[in-house]
Formats: sequence, structure tokens, C-alpha cells
Amino acid sequence: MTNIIFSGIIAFGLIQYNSKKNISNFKIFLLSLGLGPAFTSIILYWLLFMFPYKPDVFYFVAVLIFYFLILLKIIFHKKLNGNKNLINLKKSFYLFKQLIFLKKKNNIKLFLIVIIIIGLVFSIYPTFNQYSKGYLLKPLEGHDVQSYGTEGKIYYKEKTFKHRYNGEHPESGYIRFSNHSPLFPLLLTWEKIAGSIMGKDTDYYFKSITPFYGLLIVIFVFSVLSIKSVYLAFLGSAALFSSSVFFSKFFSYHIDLFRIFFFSTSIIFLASSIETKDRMQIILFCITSGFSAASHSIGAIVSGFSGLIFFLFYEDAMINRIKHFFFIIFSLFILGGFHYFYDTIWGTGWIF
Amino acid sequence: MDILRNTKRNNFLCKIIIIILFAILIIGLVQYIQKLSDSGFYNYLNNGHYKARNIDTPSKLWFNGYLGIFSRNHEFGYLNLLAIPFLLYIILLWGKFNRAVKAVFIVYIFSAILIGVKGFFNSRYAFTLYPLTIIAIFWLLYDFLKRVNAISNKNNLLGYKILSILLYLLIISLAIYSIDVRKKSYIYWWKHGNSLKYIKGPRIELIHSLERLNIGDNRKILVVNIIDFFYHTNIKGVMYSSLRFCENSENLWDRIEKENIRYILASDNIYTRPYYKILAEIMKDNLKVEIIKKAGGLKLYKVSG
Repeated sequence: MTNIIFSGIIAFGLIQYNSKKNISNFKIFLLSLGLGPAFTSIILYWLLFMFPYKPDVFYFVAVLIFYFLILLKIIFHKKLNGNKNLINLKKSFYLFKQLIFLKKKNNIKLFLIVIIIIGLVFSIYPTFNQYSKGYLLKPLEGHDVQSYGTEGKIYYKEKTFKHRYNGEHPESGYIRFSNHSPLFPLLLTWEKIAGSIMGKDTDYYFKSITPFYGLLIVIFVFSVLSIKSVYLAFLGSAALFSSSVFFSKFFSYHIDLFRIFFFSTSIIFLASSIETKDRMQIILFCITSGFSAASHSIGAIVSGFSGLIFFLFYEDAMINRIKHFFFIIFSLFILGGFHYFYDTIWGTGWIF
Repeated sequence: MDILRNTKRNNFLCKIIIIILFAILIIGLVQYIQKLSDSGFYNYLNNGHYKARNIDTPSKLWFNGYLGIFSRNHEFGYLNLLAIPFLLYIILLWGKFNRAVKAVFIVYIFSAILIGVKGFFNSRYAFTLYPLTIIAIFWLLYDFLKRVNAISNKNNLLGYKILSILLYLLIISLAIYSIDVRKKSYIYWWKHGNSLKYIKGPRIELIHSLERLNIGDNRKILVVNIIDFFYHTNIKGVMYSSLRFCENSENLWDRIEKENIRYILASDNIYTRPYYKILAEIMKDNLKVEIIKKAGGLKLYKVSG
């Protein structure tokens, strides 16, 4: 639900702004597969921050309402050419058709290649079934991911960030190690909330995040290099596996591939927004930078710096540059920066 | 407003700000290294933790630590070495690249310095730049060949083709070599990475068995950096980090008694880490603690009294 349906809704929402078509709708859809979980997590962050101590059902329904509102926004999308309040079902249906049936030749090519890559990855696992079962049934191991998991468990139990910003959770005796934003742990909180509604108490979704974002990184590298040449893209995405560390990440649970996905995408969208000056690219830069900041403190510092570099390198009238810069800072603040601001002033202190 | 819209002036302003930023970065880096050297920089290297992370000699510290993004090749592969000539390629042809490439270059260098200075001790942080480095290598290789093609005429088309093939062969060879060097690691992860034997692994079994252990309401368990305990059980624990400020083993023992700690859960390797030196002294004293369970690299001690 989170990775496909929510991501799909976000993809439709973003496609509405893709008027210049500097980036294909299909690539937006692929990127949105990574945005869905992060958006859900950040909605949950704000809900827990503003409305703590509520029952599970409150948070579950609130997240669903948020996505439903985005859907309504898509359906009642105001056309840029001046037709106000037009129920744009026709356009929505067209976008849906375009996304599913992939009318553009390039999209078909890209789609086929992505399918082939995924097929290859899966087919080279003679015991893929055993892989997925083994991966999901194996208990969550690893110091770092368990500390993120423990944080997620505490947020679920307490329904507040009070202990997060105090440093210690008195009920369990757990003391937090890092000051990173809780975007990643909240994925477990979300799984526990959804699980309580559906009567299942598992951590399969939380554990599946690592290989899911690993595949998205492979697809992302492929789609960036495919701008130059499809063969280059094949070579580049295959070359990722020449690092034994990258390979091993598909077998172990960690935050790394999750945060690295947002870190890498934010820097690539920094380049594309400077080059194309397209509103869509700037929006994507803001979103990915925000999530990069929200997933790890390295991302937070680099995203702030990227915003400054955008301001310096974006060629336009100074007034427009200032306008865009403030939009970027605002997005960074809402999507990830607020946590660090709050933690520094009222919480446990600065990142380092 | 006209002043603000002056593009030439803006570009000049940009350059000035970039120079100032880099000056701040370099001054910061120099001061940081100076500070470390003043406080016995190389004494840190004797730390067992640094040995485990393969940064325990000055050269390893530089190549596997500070410059790990490019030269921690046994983990990240040998393709990363190519990032250095390609970064030089951007610097040499700075004026020929568009603003987007320049912006990414500056952010990349900033990230490399930040990670090198603040995250050199853990290769995970250097790994952050890995996908971007791969993209950059292939993107710049393509760009380089395109430029060579543009300046070559029909007479040396064969030369261009040979150069392309050689460069692509170099990249493929480096990738294959990287896999070959670490093939044991690939085979290990492939065979055992998701082995179902971990489901009822002895470590997890020991941790779950703690829930059956009747500790008592007021009695506590001291958890020495075993996060599994907090994730897999719902028992209240005392983290060792909350007691770490004890000056000596007597003080620590007083705290253990005062907090009514009756069990200690620790891993086998705490004796090798300076951080647990004081606790290790207590653990060696059989009159104070005794091992009651041992499994999967973990030990459960019962505190006497």
C-alpha cells in the first residue's frame, strides 16, 4: 500500500506540474516509488508532533485522508491556462493512461529495460523465494538498524516524541545514540500502526526497505546515465555491484540505502534544476533534499549547502533566485530541517 | 532592482562567495587537523576500535579514512580510483563545463571534505558518495570521449575508436578485478546472507530467554551495548552509557549495587575496548559476577549479592 498506492498518488500529483516534460512521467513514477514511504513517514512525524497520544486508528485514518486530499487535488486540478475549478477527470484519465500504457517510445524502451534489469536481478537468484523468505524471516540484526528499530518501537508505544527530545526513554531504559531525524524509524512505527488495524504485528515492511531502496538506486543510476546512452546506463548500473559493500547491503538491514537514495537524487536534481530551470525539477530538488535531510545528518548539512549552491549557480534575475532559494529553505525546513532546529533549541542539542 | 538583475555582477558575486566558502572550509580543515595533532593525534591509532576499522596506521588512516571515498578500494571497488582523474578533468576544463556540472562538482567536493573530516572513522559514511561517484565516472567518461571525437577528424577516427575501447575495457577490468579481489565476501553473502539458520540463532534465543527469566520488579539488568535487547524484548534495562562516567571499578560497583542491577548482558569483545576497561575489571572478578549463560558471542552474568 505505502510503496505502490501512496507512491502512485504522489506520482500523479507531481505529473500535474510536469508541463515542460524535461523529465518523463515514467521517470517521475519511478522516483515516486521512493517518495511514497518517505512522505508517509514525514506525515506521521508531523501528526505525532502536533497530535500526540492519540489511538492508532487516528494516525492511520489521518494518513489516508492526506493521500485522499492529494487525490482530490489531482481530480479538481486547476488548469494553468485559466480554466478555474475544472473537474479535470479527462486529463487525469489521460495521465493515468499515459502512465500505464506508456505511449511514448522512449518510455517503452526505458520501461522494458527496467523490467529486464529487475528480471535479471531476480532470475540470477535460483532460490529467490528462499532469499525473500530468509531475508524477511531473519530477525532484525545489526547495531544501527536495531537502534532505529527500537526508536520506531518507542514512538509506536508512546505516540509522542517527548522521549526522543529528552534523550532517554525511562520505560525501557533505552538511550538514543544519534541525533538524526526520525524519518527511517517512523517507517516501523507506520508498519506497527497499520499492523494494529489489520491485526498483524510484524516488522517485514521495515526490513524490506533496504533491498527496495537498493533496487531503486540501481534504477536511478540507470535512468540518469540513459540520458547519454542506454549501453552506458547498463554498464553503470551493473558497475554498482563491483563494490562488495553495495552487494552485501542487499542481505543486511540498514538505513544506508534509504538515505543514500535521497542524497544521490537530491544532488542530481540540483544539477537538472540549474540546467533546465524547469519548475518540476526544482520541486523534485526540494523534495529529495528535504528527505535527504530528514533521513540523516550528512544529508541535512549537504542539503543546506546544495540550497546555497543552487542560489549561486541558478541563472536568473536575483529576485527570482531569492524567491526559489526561500522556497528551497522552506521545503527543507518542513520535510526534514525542522527536527534539527527543534532538537538544537529544545531537545538534546546540535547534530555533532 | 537593476543592480540585482545585473548578470555579470551576479556571476562575480558568485565567484567571490565560492572562494570565501572554500577558504572557510580549508581553514576549518587545517585547524581541525592541528587540534587533533596537538592532542596526541596518532595516539588514537592504538585504539582497538580503529584497528577493527582498518585505520590503525597513519597511512591507513589517510587512505582508508580521510580519503576513503576514493581509496578504500577493498570495500568500495577499484572503480572509485577513477574519480580522481575525472575530478581533475573537470578542474582542467572548468570553463568548458556548464553551471550544473560545476554546481555538482562543488557539492561533491564539499561532501567529500565533510565526510572525510567528520565521518572518516566509519566507512559507511564514505559509502554515501558511492552511487554519485559511479554516475560521475561514467558520465565524464562519455563526455571525455565525446570531446575527443569532436576534435578528431576522419584521419584519426580509428585512434578514437581504439581509445574508446581501451577506456571501456579499463572500466570493465577494474570492475571485474574488484569482484575477484573480494569474491570470498560475495560468496559468503550469497550463501549465508539470508540463511534461515539465523531465525533461531543462539544470540536471539538468549535474548528471548531473558523474558522468561524472573528478574523481579525492582531488580535491573545492565545492557552493555546490546541493542538487540531493547528491540527484541520489552524488559527494562540500564544502558552502560548511563554509568560510563564512573572513574574506577569501585565507583562502578557502587553504582551497580545502588541501581539494584542483578544481571549483566555483554558481548565477548568488551575486554578489548578501552571504553569498557573499568567494567571489564569487574567482569574478571569471579566473586562479584558469574557467567550463567553463554551463546552467540553474548554472555549473561549474574551479579552476586
